[in-house]
Amino acid sequence: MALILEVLAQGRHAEVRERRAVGGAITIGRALDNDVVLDDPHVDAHHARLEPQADGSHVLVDLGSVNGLGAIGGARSDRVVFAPGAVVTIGRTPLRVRTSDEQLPPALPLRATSAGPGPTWLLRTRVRIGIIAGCFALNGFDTWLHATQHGVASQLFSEALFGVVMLAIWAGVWSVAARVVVGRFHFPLHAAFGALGVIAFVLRQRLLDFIAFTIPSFGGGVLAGDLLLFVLLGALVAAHLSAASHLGMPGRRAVGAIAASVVLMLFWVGRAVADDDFTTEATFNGTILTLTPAVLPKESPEEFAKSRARLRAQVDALLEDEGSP
Amino acid sequence: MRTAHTHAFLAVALLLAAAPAAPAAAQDEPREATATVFARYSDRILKIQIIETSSNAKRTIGTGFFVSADGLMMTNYHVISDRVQEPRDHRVEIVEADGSARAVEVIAIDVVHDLAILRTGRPSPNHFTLGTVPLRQGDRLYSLGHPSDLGLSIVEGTYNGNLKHTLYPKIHFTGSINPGMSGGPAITNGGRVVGVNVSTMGEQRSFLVPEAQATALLSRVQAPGFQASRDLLADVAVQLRDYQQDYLGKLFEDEPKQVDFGPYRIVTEPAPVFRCWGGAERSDERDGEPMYREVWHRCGTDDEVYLADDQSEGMVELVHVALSSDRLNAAQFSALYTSRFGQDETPGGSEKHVTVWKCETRNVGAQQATVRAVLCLRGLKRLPGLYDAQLKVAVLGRSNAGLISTLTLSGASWENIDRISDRFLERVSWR
Repeated sequence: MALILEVLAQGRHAEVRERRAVGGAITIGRALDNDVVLDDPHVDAHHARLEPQADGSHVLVDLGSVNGLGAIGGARSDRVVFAPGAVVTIGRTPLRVRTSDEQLPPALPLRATSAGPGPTWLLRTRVRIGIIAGCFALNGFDTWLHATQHGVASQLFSEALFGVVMLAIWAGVWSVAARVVVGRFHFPLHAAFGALGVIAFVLRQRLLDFIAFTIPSFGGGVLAGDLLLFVLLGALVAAHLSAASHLGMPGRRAVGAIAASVVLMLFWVGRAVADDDFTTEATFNGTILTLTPAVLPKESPEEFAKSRARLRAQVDALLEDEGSP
Repeated sequence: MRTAHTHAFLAVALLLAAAPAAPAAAQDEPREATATVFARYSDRILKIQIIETSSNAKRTIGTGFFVSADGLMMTNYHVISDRVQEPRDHRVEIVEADGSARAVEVIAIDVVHDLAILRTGRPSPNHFTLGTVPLRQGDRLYSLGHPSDLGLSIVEGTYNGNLKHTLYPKIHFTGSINPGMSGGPAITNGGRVVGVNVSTMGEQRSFLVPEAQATALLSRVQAPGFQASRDLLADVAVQLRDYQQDYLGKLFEDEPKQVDFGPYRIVTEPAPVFRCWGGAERSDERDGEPMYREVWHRCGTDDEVYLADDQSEGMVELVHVALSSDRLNAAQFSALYTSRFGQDETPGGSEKHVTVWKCETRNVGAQQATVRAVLCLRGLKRLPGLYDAQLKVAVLGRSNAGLISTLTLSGASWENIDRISDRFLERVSWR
């Protein structure tokens, strides 16, 4: 068994500045003729001596220094028994002794199964950058496809700027939360998840537009949109949790589902409240895509007349509810 | 748009020269000073006030005039409309010259022509006798009433014939009729009623309900077996249903006038009472070339029927908007088309009178084109069997041009809405 003296960084005990095996007595101080030289203005030229005792323990002896041994503001002492693992401060410099045969925890596996930082393919920096760049490219393309006025460049720029800020906030919040919960700060990974989410939501909107245009009679459009929203939102939260929690796959899915349900519920409440308000605004499905009429499913004028009759029945039901004469 | 409309209306109104030529016999007495006319006939005209019963204070004032010796009084429907719409919250009173008021009963209305008859229960030996009055354009008339509750006043003006382009007749009177004078008579210096004061566009452009309409309503009331109406609101519904049947029943039945409109053929002036306006707008330009062009063509009637201070019905409007672009790609054009088509241009309304809009959207293979069609419909809560509707149609099939045609009907029966929707769809076409 060998004894090792560690000089630690001020204020950060995790960082070891210097490590030295202790054989016989060693001197500690600012002067260069010491065995251990401390570059600390609060340390005397010859400050202390570490002396091995007959029983195998070690004692740190003060050599008449200005600041003595011990913590700042704590009791000053001239002689300290230096047990392995204990920290004693000289001036402002913390010192620690350890033994070579101390008990150590087993090594961490490279990827813990329960709290791995995302799928392996996302660990590559190039892939993450690619996803984030792809997200901005897709959004820019989408904006360009819907631009009907001049000045699309400035619109693209401001949207990109806004996107960067929002993605940074989103990834930042997740990273900080992850740092608090599991001690990891994975900003690029969370940014990549966020970007994937944005891509999915843009594609979802385009899919819904397509359905709304081709099958306007499809009554489940809103429900389909909500269902997709639920799945995407749940998946996004679960993905973030893979790097921000110790939860296993079932747990992440459950939390994702709960978060998505809460958001959907808020949407529904908002809609229900709005539905109750009287309005003279008409809401209809005005989406028009450039699709040749030949391949577009369409109704005959007779079928349209039947749709109109159903509409009249709806309005008559409203009138009846109102208890009109 | 509003201003253009108003100016054009004025231009047409002033062009009306075709009043029936009649001998000067209308001026059946020697020309008298306005003061004499006032002195002779003012006792046949009283102020009408509508009292809101919970506050016991007047909510509306108007004017009425005696048309029979047993106290029947003629006024406008819009003067007493609160009583018709919410009978429990309002009562109608006439105010005698000495300021005393008495409650009276509304016994008959003509909502389309804006007339009502009150039974005052007070003998009125001095009253106007209705009957045809031959007139020439330019004849002097005297309009009497209570402008802004300032006391009975007399206004001189001139007769300018019936308006053209209207679904129901109105006399153009050049003179200042002001709020409060509604329901008062416009008379010759001989005391013959020419019409009933009804509305104004300001700056002396005023309108009268022709005497013939008043006579028709009075004869109905004086016919044997007449019963005072117990449910005036039901009368309103019946009268509006008959009225809309008159002008919508045949709309689009004959081959309507069509004009070229970009690459499309569109329906214009579906009936002679419609007047059409057009215009073109270009989006912001770069290199002298706009991103897109928008051309519009709008036809409508000027006749809406007043029902209450927050509801009018009887509107018919046809709007075509053509969009085209050489600069936008197909996706960008579809975004433009979507946003223009998605604009809500349905009429407003109050919760008391209308339900919310319900809409159905479909892609329809119509006779001559594939279209995206939306029908929006709402019910009129107090007028059973009548609806407001808007049919909006976008022609599909081009990646750089589109046509949006919108037909708006208010106060129409379902049968007319349904039939006109079919006719309208049949006629949407490419050139």
